[in-house]
Amino acid sequence: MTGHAGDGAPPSPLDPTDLLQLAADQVSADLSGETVILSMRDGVYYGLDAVGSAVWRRLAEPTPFAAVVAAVVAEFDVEEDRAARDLTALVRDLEARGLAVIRPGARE
Amino acid sequence: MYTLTDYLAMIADRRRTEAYVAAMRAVIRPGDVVVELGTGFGYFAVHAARLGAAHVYAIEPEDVVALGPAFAAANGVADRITFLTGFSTRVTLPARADVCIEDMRGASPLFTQRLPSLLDARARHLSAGARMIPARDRLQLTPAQAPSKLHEEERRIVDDAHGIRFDAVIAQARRGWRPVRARDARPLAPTATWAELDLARFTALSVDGTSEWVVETAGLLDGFVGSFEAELAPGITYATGPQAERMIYDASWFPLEQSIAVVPGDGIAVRMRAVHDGAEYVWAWDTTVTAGDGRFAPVRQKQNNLPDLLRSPERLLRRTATFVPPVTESLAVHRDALALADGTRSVGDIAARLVERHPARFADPRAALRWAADWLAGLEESGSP
Repeated sequence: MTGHAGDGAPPSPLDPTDLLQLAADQVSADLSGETVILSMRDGVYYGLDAVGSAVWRRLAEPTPFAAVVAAVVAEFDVEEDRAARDLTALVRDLEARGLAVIRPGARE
Repeated sequence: MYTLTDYLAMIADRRRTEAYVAAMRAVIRPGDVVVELGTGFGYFAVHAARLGAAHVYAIEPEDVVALGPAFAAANGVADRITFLTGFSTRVTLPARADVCIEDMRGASPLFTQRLPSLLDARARHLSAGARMIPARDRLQLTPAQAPSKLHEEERRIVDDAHGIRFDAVIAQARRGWRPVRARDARPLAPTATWAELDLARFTALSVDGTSEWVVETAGLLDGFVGSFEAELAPGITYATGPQAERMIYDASWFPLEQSIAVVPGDGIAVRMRAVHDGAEYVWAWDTTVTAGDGRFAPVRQKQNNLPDLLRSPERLLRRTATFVPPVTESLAVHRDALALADGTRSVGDIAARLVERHPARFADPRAALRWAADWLAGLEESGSP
């Protein structure tokens, strides 16, 4: 994610059933396969690359984390463990910036 | 950038001017200190002084302010008005004001730097409980059929005699807002308020609100007219929407990507957002249309003008804090020009040296002189720190 602050600590894990959705306080647009996001909270622009944009499009509706991982594995040539790790970092980053919300799923 | 002609046209709009004068009569008390933001040559400032203000600070960044002192003198109030040249965010007043007068709207109350300027004025120029003219602005929308001019223009383009398809281009054109004369649109439902700005109390630059309508007139829902109602003081208002008398202000046209035929009883709902990005507003409008008789499933369209403002991901990258600007020839020209402008050289000397160092960038010394003079002057204008 463009403008990633990154404090070095590993992001807290997500459960496969956790429901992810875009926050209401943002405006976004697709520009040639990349996504531009403007946060209403701080008026700062963020950018997502092609993989991040694929995730962003899925989060228009509440989506379980497992489904997002599966979609990225299917669309891009990446192993599931790696996808889950990278997507956890991305989604936690979006959450920290007020761009996405995570609702706990029915953990087993 | 407003010229003398613009200011005269604003004053000539008697509906606007008389409303402001009436509000000043109602609000200004003898002995008040008054500040006017964007005074032009001081027309409202002169009124404020004649109404008994102890002193008026009249602030204006444009050159037209140079006419202010003579204008005030001709009206017998020169001793009670101080004209300050520059942006209100960069001047310091010797006293805090009891009343603030401004009309920095243009077509919209959310005009680029208006709200940031008002927040700054409240923090630095105004006393606690200062009275604002206007007191409130109501942001309004009217569902409408597009002005016939827009329809005709689009039809002329789409009916291309050479068989060229314009779908993608028209779709892009419908993603952004554009200025429109409010009365040229055909309203399909009454004007409604989606947000209200209390100018003495607002704290957020971004605005988020909703409006709902039941369609009253059958037609093609092409988009929405964005207008406003100003409440200058209690009971003193004017509006700029399709049903109001024509005024100096334009309105904004927020088009739908796909027009929808509606009939009385259909429902329209909009969530409208204006997000300030530090320099300007990004607009987003999410529309839901529901058939009153169930003849179609609810239609939802989400739009914003980000693609208009940021035409490519590269442009976005340049706005993020982590972007590292590459050293280009253009950057080198600017860096040299800045270093040469050391307080001893004329702009002609600066231009001559720029031509020597960057012959590929300037056709001749005259081109360099023109560029250097304009660029250096621009550093003192709008948008510069």
